[in-house]
Amino acid sequence: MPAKNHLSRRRFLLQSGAFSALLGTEIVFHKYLPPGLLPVALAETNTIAGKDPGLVVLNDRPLNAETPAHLLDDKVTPASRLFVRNNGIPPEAPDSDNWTLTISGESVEQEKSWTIQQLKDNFKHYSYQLTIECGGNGRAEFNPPAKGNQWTTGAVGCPKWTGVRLKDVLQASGIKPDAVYIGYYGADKHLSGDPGKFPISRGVPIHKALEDEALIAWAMNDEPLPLLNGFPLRLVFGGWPASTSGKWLQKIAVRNQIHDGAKMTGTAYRVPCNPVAPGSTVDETQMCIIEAMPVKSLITFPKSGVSQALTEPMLVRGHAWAGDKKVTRMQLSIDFGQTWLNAPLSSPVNKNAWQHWQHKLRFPKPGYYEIWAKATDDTGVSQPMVLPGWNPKGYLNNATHRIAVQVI
Amino acid sequence: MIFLLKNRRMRRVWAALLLLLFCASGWSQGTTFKLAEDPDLPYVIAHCTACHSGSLITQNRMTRDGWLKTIRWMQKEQGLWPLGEHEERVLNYLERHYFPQTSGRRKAIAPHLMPKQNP
Repeated sequence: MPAKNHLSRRRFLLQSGAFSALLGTEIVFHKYLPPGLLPVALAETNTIAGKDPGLVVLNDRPLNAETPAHLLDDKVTPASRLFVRNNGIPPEAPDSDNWTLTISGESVEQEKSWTIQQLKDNFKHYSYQLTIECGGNGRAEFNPPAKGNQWTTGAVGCPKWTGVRLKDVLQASGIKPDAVYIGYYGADKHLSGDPGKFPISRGVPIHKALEDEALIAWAMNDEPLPLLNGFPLRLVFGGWPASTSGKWLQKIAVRNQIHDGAKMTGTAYRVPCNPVAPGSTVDETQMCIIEAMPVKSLITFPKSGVSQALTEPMLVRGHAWAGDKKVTRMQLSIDFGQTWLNAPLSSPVNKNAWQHWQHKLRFPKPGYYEIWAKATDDTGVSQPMVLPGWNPKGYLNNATHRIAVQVI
Repeated sequence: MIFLLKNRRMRRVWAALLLLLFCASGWSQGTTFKLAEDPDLPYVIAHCTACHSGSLITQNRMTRDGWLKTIRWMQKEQGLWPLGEHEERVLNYLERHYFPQTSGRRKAIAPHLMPKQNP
């Protein structure tokens, strides 16, 4: 090889630091995202009756749609901004006047049926703000990817629900001492159209069913439930996977075993009982049912991608929640987790309601920033900055929410 | 072709390329890394690893635009010759095999959530 080329090569190798610098400066972080990884950008944005046009439709059969973080800014989630998650085909025009709820199962003393009016007349009404979040919220980030609707951050909300306590209605039927679980049955139909199949029939252990905040609800934010969110009657269990909060509720079975309805068994709404390496194959017998959701938070203001003047403080706010627990600390970072600022945090209005936080941030110099939000629950457990434990179905991603800001 | 052969560097490249096209493509590769097998590999060996280790390719991931910028930088600063009609093949190869990977514990924030005024 001629001397000149040797020289070139040596010069090149000596300057490999410069090469790295080139990578660091010219190959900007965001350019690493290949076009195939834009689940939200690629998703269709259709308008759904009664829903904000900003909701992102992930699937049109069955209909599934999530709410972008900046549309979840309200302290009480409006009905129009609550995500839609369907496992089957919703009933088309439920008749609320003739709707009945039956309490049955091997662990009730006496099977009983109630019309909605009878529920309203016979039991005390309660209203709670309850956070419901899809177990698969955040699935889009897992790698190797998990199959299913690729929820990013928007399958969560915290409206005010009104109804009667599930425990009052169950106790009216008499709960046998061997009761361990409740399972619901709704009026939605299996996608195959087979009337013998339920699209979903899940539930919760009896201890969760008997909590004060476990509701049989007919109203969201003082209005009848939206059809897509369960009109005319549904269960609401705050802090647990939203799939436990059965919609179009027709029957509750009190069980003397863990409920074995559709999507209670196999791998649905389950994670490995013991942690596994990413991409592992996990036997069904080693998959355990998800119970309370983990600690999590969202930045709902400003919208990611905003420009911010260097001379002005930036108001940042959002919500935090922690399954059955309480969030006790909220922290923000503008330097990729190197330092954290404590953000003032409100108390929940009731158990299982999300909490609100806000803070004014200042930036040291112009440039690209990410704001990371990290909540810590009352047992000292925080949100991870990278993805939490990989699982075959892509549940329980509670990694810190991040928004991008350009300071000018 | 005749025009290209007038250039001494390009003559060397063509000679290396012709040799490589008739040899096993792993011929000039080291043992600690291996460039991906591909019909366009000979062009990469002729134009890239003539001067530097293939490990500078295998340990990096860039978009097509990123690889092109790196080639332009090498042409401006490191004496890399014009790749002529081979540039397309080299870029195809680099994009195909050394594109940013989606693996890792966290993806970048999605482009639609990024600032528009990113300088």
